[in-house]
Amino acid sequence: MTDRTLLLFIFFLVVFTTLKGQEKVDLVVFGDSSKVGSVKQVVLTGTIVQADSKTPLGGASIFLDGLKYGNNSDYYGRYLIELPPGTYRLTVRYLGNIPIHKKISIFKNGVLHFEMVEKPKVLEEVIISARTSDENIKEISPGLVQLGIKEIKRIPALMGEVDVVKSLLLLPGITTVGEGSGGFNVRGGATDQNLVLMDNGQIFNSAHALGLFSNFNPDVTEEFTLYKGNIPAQYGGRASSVLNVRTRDGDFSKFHVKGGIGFLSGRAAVEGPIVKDKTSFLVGGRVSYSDWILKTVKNLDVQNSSASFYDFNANVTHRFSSGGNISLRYYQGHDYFRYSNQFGYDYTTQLLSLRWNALLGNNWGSTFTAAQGKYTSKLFDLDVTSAREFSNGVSYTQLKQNFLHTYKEVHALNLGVEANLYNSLPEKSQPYGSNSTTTAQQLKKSDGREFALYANEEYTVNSIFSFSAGLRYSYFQSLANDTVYLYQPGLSRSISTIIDTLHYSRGQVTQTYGGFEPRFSVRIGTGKNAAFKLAYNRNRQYIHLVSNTTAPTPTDIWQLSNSYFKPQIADNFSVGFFQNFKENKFEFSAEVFYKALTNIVDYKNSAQIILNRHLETDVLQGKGKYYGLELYVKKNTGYWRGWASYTFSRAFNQINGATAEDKVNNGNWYPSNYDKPHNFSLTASHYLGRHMTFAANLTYTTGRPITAIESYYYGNEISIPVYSERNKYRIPDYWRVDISVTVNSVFKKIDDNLVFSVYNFFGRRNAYSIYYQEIYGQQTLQAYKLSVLGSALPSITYNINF
Amino acid sequence: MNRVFQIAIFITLFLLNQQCRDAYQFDTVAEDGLLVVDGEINDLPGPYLLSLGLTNNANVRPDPLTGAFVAITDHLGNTENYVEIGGGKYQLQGYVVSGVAGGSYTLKITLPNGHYYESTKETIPTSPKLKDSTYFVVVNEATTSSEGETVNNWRVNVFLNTTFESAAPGYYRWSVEEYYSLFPTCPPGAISCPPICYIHQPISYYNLKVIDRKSFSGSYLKGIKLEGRDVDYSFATRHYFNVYQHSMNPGAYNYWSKVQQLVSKRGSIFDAPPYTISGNIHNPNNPNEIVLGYFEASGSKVTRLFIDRGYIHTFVQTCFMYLPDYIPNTYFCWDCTQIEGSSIVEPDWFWH
Repeated sequence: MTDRTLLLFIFFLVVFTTLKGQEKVDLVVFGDSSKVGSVKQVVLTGTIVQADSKTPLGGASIFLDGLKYGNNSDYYGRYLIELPPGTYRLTVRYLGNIPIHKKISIFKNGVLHFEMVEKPKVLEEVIISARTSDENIKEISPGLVQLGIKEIKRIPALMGEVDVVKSLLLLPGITTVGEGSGGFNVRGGATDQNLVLMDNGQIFNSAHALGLFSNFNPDVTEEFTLYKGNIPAQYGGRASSVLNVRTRDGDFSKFHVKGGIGFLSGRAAVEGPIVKDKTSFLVGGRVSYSDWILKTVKNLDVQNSSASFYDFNANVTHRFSSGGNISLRYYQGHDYFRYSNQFGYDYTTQLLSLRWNALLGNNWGSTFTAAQGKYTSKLFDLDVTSAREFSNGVSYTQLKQNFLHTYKEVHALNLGVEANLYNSLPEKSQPYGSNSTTTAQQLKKSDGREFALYANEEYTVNSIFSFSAGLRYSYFQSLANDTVYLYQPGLSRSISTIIDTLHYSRGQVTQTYGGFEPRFSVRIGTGKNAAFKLAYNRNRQYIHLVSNTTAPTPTDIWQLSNSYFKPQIADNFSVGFFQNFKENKFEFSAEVFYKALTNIVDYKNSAQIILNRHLETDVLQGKGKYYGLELYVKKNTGYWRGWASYTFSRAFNQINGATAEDKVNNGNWYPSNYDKPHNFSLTASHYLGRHMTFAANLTYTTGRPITAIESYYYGNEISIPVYSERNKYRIPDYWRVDISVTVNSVFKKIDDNLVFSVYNFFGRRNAYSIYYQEIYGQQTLQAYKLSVLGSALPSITYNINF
Repeated sequence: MNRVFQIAIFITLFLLNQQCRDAYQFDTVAEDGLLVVDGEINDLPGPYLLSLGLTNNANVRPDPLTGAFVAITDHLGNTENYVEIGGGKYQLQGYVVSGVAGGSYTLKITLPNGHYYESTKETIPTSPKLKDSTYFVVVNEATTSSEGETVNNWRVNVFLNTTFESAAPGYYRWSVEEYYSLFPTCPPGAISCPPICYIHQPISYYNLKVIDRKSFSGSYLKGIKLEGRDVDYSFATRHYFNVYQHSMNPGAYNYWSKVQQLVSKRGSIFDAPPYTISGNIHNPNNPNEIVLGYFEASGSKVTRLFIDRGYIHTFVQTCFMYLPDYIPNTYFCWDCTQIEGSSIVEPDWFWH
């Protein structure tokens, strides 16, 4: 074959395939070209949804081929393009889905809906994210983390359980007190400074098994977003961050069953249509069965311990033909933990939420959310004669109406109103068992109402400059449930300084707080794939987790602001530079943050938290300053993928009250419990072949501050330790390596996989805390390093989807 | 696939059996020289003891503080000086000031360097004393060792039953000390045997039990475990457990309940952050100075309970036993006065 013949063959091949491809492009006609007249612009609108689930696809792109002109769909999956009358070729793209090509002849305004189909699962599409590859550059706000559940499934997981919170801990600026502690800390903030939302309803305790897992079932979770830099005005009520977790709609066209089974827990989910293409359901649950592992441990107390949890999600969604939808979602999670015959916990979270999305014309959308949540916890003290059961909790009703106005891709205005009605459940102590001689006690708590009005505008001036500006006004009412004590001015609050007691009828307003919360962020493009961003936020927090321990416990008390608990106010500043390289193959970011807080909560020595009728005598409020630098590098494509993050940060508190008792460390700045200067993590995955993936994590953090024994003295022959100033020392540094191997398609014709993982691969005994214990006959206490997970934890999890 | 599962389960079980705690050495730097005061006046006949010391980062026990001038003043305005008896200990004879229920007492201390300290006014409570009965149980008990492993030991556990004879409010504390005799080794043919020792020791440096009467609804408490003691040579003859009941005023209750909280809850991962407990002694000229310890005025009573080898169904090693093939190699079997808390003076109640 000569070169000319070869070229001719290639030419015809190209022409043939092009023509063949052209044949596949459907032609849709709007109007008549002869009746165009003087019309210069027409509008094409419609929705872009997932074909199977009918889930609206926000952020899908719709472009006119050859013109480099188009738009992205909004949160409701809607799009709008203005264009001159004519004939065009449209391409709709959404990551992980097969692109749709349409040829249109449009001579009047038209509506065109698209249903996108997921690409078959070939290797390169294992990661499916709702984000475009340069979203980190285009996004106005710094400090935004958005991940799909499929993305975090590649991270090696503890005991094979894919976990939202554990994946967040691999990102810069996010830490935890240690394994076995619930919650997470964002940029030095306390755990209660994070607003955790599941389908827009608040979750007060996001931990299962004392924090080893979170209560977001991966089979039910769609995606989650963490706002740690700029929090849009639509969200409020917490000082540091917002974690918004969205669960999935059920499939609108086909039935599916998913499941997984591991050493510690099993899970299953069923979904499908109730009315095809109109109404769907999704039911999922997890249950643990870990007691058999506890029985294998040598320690007698551990053998006699018990731990279990379950959670359950049920979602029903109905799509209206007008384009809106309504969904009703229910979540219940329960944990039980008993340590030998000494103590135990039992806590339950319930959340019922309703969401109604409606389209109001071409540019307006409405989302109404109603949620009813309840968190209850019990502590069992199993000491024979003083055995008791202590219970407390909080319930709330939340109503929120949000209106969204969008225009093309340049403007998005959120307007809304929100109300949270909190009801503190009484603290109760009751005898536990027939041998207990303790007396029953009950303490009523104050309730509260929090209201907010907000407006948030995101505006893209041009490809270089865009901004987000929001204003939220929040207002809080503290509602009496019993009595308010008055104290002698100028003296530390204590029982002995009470000068009067005011009695209120239930529901009477005793105190109000309120104020504006400006939110602002700016993006300045500094090149094709680079942007400089800065943000300022003010947040007010009216509900506080009263916890006199380093790690949050299930029985910690949620305390609403009242006459003595002032709202925590945070001013968050952040500046960041973001750059992508090699067609978004690599992402890089560097962010600096500074956070100034007032009215942070700390405690007097020996603070009594439980059943304290005058909690204000044991609680102190002061200032906090947290600052740091976050570096992040990510590789998005290729056989090797992953990211590395490093954070240098400091977190200091100052409690400097008027009297010596109202100071901590003589009123000097001291490291907060969450002060971990260095935090490094590396996550990488590698494709080992068509059916196999290898992944590994490396995590390093500086040990957290601790108060240690410095010497002893004797009182009545009791050896009494003398402790250092608060948080003067540190526990040893923490590092851990996890690995996993995922084998896909274990059985032919079944969508399944087998995950082998080893958490803490090197079996490092990382310190969770340092504690002291008596050694028989010795006059000093021996310090011990407690490791919650002191060995390598291998696991095998089998997942199936059909 | 089955083989893979088997291996994985084996590895899991193997690794999980590793312990999750390790001894840890802190490099702490402490401030030396904090004044420590430890004393009590009660409604028992005197004398009453007081200890003064200065904290020493290198030693467990504070350094004895000698040469101080210590006095006590009661609610009637009477003042009596303490007499230094050595080793940082001072004794109040009770000739002028003695402990009575309802009486109030203030301690005043002047150190050799001129620094002056005084206590808050402490009152011996008038709350009724409780009717205590104590008993012991000898068990072969599985316990968790300091290494985290399960071990079996013969132990003598001491329990308390107590009765509230009225609903009157009150705060109570129990502490236990042991008293035992030791017959030293006396080889056959020795001209004279070493004297018998009476050894008085705290059992634990960390056990105490504190209660607030109003926390309990019934008229009695049963089965409160006060102490546990491994069986050893000290049970060869009479081994006493002296259980002291202290009725306290609210200030002392507050102090000792904090001590109980601090020294008894150290293993949970959810313990509250620890701190140094402030006592009731202060320096009027320097209110920020940290003074450790407590001067307590309490009502006291003691209940004695003894056990000997006859109650223990296991071999008890003794020093007294001298057999050709058995030579006690423990130093104190030859000279029991070397044991801390040892005396050759027999308590008048010991053999009665």
